[in-house]
Amino acid sequence: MNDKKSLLNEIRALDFALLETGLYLNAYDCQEAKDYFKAIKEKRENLAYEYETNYTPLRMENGMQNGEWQWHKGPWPWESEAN
Amino acid sequence: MWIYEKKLQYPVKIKNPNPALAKIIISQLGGPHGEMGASTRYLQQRYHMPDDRIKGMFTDIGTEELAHMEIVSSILHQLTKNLCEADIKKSGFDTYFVDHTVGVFPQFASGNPFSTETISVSGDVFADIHENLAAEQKARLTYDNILRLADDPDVKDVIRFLRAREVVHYQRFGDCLRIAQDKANDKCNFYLYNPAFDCQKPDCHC
Repeated sequence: MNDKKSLLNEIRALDFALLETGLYLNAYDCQEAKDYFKAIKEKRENLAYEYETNYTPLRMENGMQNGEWQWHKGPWPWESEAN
Repeated sequence: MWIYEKKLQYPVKIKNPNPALAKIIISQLGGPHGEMGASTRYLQQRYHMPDDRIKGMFTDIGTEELAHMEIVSSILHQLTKNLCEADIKKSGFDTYFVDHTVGVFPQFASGNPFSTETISVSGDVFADIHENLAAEQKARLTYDNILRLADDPDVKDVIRFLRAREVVHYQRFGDCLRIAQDKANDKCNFYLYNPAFDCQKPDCHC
């Protein structure tokens, strides 16, 4: 299992790639960009599932983990301990 | 609607508090070229945009600017943690502290509160896209000036990320301008009408 911090950083990097490619795709119908987006998206989904089930939810819809409400538990993103 | 994701777009982990630096960086939260103005501008301009590609771009860039407000606010929060009264007096942070303590209030570095007077929603497609191109350059130059004044590597790393995003957004707004002009030119010269207002009725022959 990946440790919490490196897993979160990997998700951040993939999200960045998705956002950057998504903005580009808004303007350009590019097959290479579409293939790239699809590959990154799949990887991102798997890592987010690993992160949310092992550590802490990223979205409120996944706030219930192991029968407990985890969503509100800190650290919150603006606190240095979360980064 | 929006969904909150419980992480920063780029990590902020500052080891040393520095209220004097916070006094400068606060301008990129609520100042004349700041992230609050950027997100408000793009998200409010999107309603009159005439093309789906441009509607998408304004929504997505406006949303990313909300994430940048959160990053700048996190820097301010961490730079002003665990201060003693002597730090506050010595750093010149006292004039902010007296009104806001260590709360994160959107204001200019000069102390003026955030104002929508710093943004424009003209309702003219070409004027608004040009405004956004200029806004990205102004945000970029403010980050350049912050980099000239800051000496903390933990802070400078994050500011460099935000600066690079301004450059990318400028490119994407450039795409929006090209799309809007090409589409308007298909009908007639783009300077002759505002696609957000003129020629909206199906029987219009202008």
